[in-house]
Amino acid sequence: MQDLLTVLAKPIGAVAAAGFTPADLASLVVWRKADLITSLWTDSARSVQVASDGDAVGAWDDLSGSEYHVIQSSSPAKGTYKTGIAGGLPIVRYAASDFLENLTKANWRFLHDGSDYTIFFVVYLNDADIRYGLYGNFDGNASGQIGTMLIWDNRSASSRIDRAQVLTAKSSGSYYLSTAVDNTWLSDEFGVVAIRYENGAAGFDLNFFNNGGVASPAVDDTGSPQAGDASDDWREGNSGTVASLAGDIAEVIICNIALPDDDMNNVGNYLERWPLTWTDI
Amino acid sequence: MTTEWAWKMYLIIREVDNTTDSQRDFGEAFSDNGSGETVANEAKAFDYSTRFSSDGNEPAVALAINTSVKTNMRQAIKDIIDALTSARYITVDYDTEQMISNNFGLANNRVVTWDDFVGFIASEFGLIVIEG
Repeated sequence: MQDLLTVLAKPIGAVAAAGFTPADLASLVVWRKADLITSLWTDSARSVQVASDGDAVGAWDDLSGSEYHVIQSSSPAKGTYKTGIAGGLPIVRYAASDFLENLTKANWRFLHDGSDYTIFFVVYLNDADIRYGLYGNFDGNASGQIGTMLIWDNRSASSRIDRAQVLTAKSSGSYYLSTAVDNTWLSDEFGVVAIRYENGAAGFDLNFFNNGGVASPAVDDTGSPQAGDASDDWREGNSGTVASLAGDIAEVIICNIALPDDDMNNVGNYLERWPLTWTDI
Repeated sequence: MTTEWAWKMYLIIREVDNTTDSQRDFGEAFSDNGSGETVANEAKAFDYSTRFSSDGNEPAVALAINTSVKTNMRQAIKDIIDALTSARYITVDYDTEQMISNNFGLANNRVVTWDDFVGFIASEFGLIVIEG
């Protein structure tokens, strides 16, 4: 249960608009939540519903209306439904190499062509000495990958400590846009990882938000995003490389705009139904 | 209601054994024992595996899977592993990770996590995970 003092300590107004849900966002593209058991299936054909703690998760429905459901048809790579984990709520657990994906590549073109987007994951990361891949969607060209993915590097090697990397649409230059978030990223706790990408006249801005607050740190780039690249499958629980989550996902929300701060806060405060605290931006 | 997926298995095979035949055998071990997926879908398992090499760089020389299994899948998978050279498995209870069976020659009265399994592979074969 969320600490009462934490709730009371939030400034007045720092709550989601009354009755707000992600469905109120016109820009909503994906919405998945693990505490709606009827949205979870043991098979990729979405014919057998998840019923019990420990059941395999072979499909997880999108509630946005887009029907961007994610599936996994190979049993060893399926997630697992676990109850009573996040403040008593259920989650989908991903072991090493587990992931769910949406194979309709055209659905994800907006993550490739320089369009704005905002992605929220409610996720649990443990503090293992590994590299996590939370989500991925890119074309796989080794010399200049295009798309988006989030890797959180927790390996102890000096060049790799506590670095979150988002790969995003770009025409040339850096292989990754990355930002160091030294010792500020989630560790052994549930939290909201939010990524906001905005393509402006002077280039694009990429922000990470770790449970809200100040974007830490902003990444600005004057390069032009590349348009017209082929898109790729969307993966949750895996970056599309060998980096995978090895953790829990509770909720996923994706919008096809760079959400204004007020809407970021509405989503963040709505997500406080999980055991986390969002600090308003 | 109790889930049927009560066990986890950690498996590792050599890359040279990742053949069409062995992929089909693994696919059948899942599909024929109530996974709800086709053999072809299940046969893709090693496409998503954790990859190992002696120096941490490509190419991979071994592939490992961390998977939930139903009770009646265990023997079929163990039979496949036992027929392959230098392949290893560990079966644990899903929730407690208490080891139930293995072919490392280890005593079973211990908790074994995936990280432990990776450590066993490093100790026995000198292989480490490739992180691309």
